[in-house]
Amino acid sequence: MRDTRAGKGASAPAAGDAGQARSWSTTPGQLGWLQAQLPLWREEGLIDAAAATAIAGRYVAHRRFSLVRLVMALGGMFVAVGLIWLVAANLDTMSPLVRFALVAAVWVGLLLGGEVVAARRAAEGDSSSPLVGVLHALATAAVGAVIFQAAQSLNVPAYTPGLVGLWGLAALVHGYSLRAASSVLIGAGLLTGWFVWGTVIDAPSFVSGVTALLVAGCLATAVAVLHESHWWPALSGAWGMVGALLVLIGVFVAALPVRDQGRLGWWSWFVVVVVLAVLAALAALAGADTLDRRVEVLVPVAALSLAVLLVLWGRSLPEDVFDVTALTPGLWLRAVVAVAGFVAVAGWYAVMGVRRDRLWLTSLATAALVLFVTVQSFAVFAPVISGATLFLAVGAVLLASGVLADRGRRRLITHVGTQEES
Amino acid sequence: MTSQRWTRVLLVLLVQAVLVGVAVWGQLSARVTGREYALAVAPFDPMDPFRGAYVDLQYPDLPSLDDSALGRSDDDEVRAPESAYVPLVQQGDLWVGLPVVRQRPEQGPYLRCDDSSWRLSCGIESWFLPQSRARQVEAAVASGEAVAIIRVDRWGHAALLEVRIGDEGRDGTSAAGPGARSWAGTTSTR
Repeated sequence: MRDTRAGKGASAPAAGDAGQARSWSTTPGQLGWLQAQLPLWREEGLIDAAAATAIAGRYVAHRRFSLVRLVMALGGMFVAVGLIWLVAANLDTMSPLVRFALVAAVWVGLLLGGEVVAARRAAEGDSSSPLVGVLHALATAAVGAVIFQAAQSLNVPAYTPGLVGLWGLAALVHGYSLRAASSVLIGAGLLTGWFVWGTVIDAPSFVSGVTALLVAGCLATAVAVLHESHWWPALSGAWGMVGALLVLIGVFVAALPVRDQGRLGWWSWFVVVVVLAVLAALAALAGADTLDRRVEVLVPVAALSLAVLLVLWGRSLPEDVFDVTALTPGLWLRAVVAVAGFVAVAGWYAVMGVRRDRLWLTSLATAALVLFVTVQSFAVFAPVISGATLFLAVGAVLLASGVLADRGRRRLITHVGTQEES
Repeated sequence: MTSQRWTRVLLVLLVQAVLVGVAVWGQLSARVTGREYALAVAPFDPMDPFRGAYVDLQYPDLPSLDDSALGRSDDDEVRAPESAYVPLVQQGDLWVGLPVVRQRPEQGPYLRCDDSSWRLSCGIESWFLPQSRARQVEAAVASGEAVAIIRVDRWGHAALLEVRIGDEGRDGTSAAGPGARSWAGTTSTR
């Protein structure tokens, strides 16, 4: 039987009294499968009645995604936005010092309150309480509010990317110290925002923005693989989500028909992050124990190469990028390469999501693909033939791929069945 | 909660508090250890999405981002940003900036600025006010003479304290001189 403790859906056993069996959380689907298999195993003599009862009693159903989680996540998000907005409102009914003290009190309260709740939930055996995650996220938002309130009170110049970077760093400190995945996710997103913003400020150009997005995507993905294989598997998902999102956005943007002659700047932090990305990717490749993980590290690198190629290629677009009469065969080839490249990247993420039971990744890749085809149809292909052409072409390719894959699956089943009979 | 967990929580609090300090340390250092100077100022009013309404100030007597003064040309490769220093000298009631230099001045007050973006930024360009009052200030300062009172520490970090309008209170060395008047009486950020 698959060890659900190490697999998806199973979480750490709940604390129990000494001498009593501990219970493990698993998804309703997995529990249903187990309960259907146990009678079969008893009939085949693999286990006896006592063993079947003990196994069945070991697991309890627990939904990862529930209405409670959704409502609490939404509520937490609204409160976080409201807190930052309150700082932005610049209420003059209180002095800057009083405002700062108030925001700081909220921050400390959320941080300590979150830990008290986490301790209580852990003592009750509820290891995955949604309230704990929301409180961690709110405390992370609150430290950002403190940073911005302090900056506002002291008139730190506006549009300072460094403040976002410091907020991201504070979020990571919270996430890693207190094992809060939500804080790590927020921190990774904020640091990405700081990095891209700072790079574009240093060298305002299309190539700067696209390169920064994809370098950040390479780094986040390498960090995700390192977490999964060596460091901290529970945090791999957060980094992986950020990495996948950045890669998809980067290639999406690079594929747009943009004519930009700007240069790539060499802001000091850009150089640092590039070096970090290279080192992380090499470490992840060296430590990866499966082909999937190695490919996972290399796909963002390939996407970065594709994106830079598309951006540089776009420099030969006509002044009016929508003037189809001025498009050369080379530029048509660019459009085809852009579409094929994005479909390949998004398709790979969708497949990986299915293989690893990461529904969020499959959903993200699928949504990105639909959005991409729609935008490209209207932006590039509609003026010439019809936006429908791209939908037809991509749809046909995907259908053909699915038919081939299904054919391969049926052949494999037949082959295995033939071997068993002989 | 275990003592180990408490220790981690306190560590998080401490590190995050340090990061908050890092975010504003230049302004804090200037406010605590700096000396006051008055500069001519002219504002306009955009909106910063993170921190509410503010008045974006321009300083007519400080140098702008002039490539020739900084020894660059448009044909140069994009280079790493360097520190830019603006020496200050007194002219009458106010202080004005000399051309930007790359080496830290050995004598006299100076501003430590950043020339990596589209403007020379010396840390005194934003003055946060509620949006409605920001518009009032912008209108009033555009029609009259305005003076910004700043504090500058010995490392060139500057902090904006307040903006005054009119002839009263245009004391080039002290914001607290007799007859000094602040705009609207309550907009000082001290």
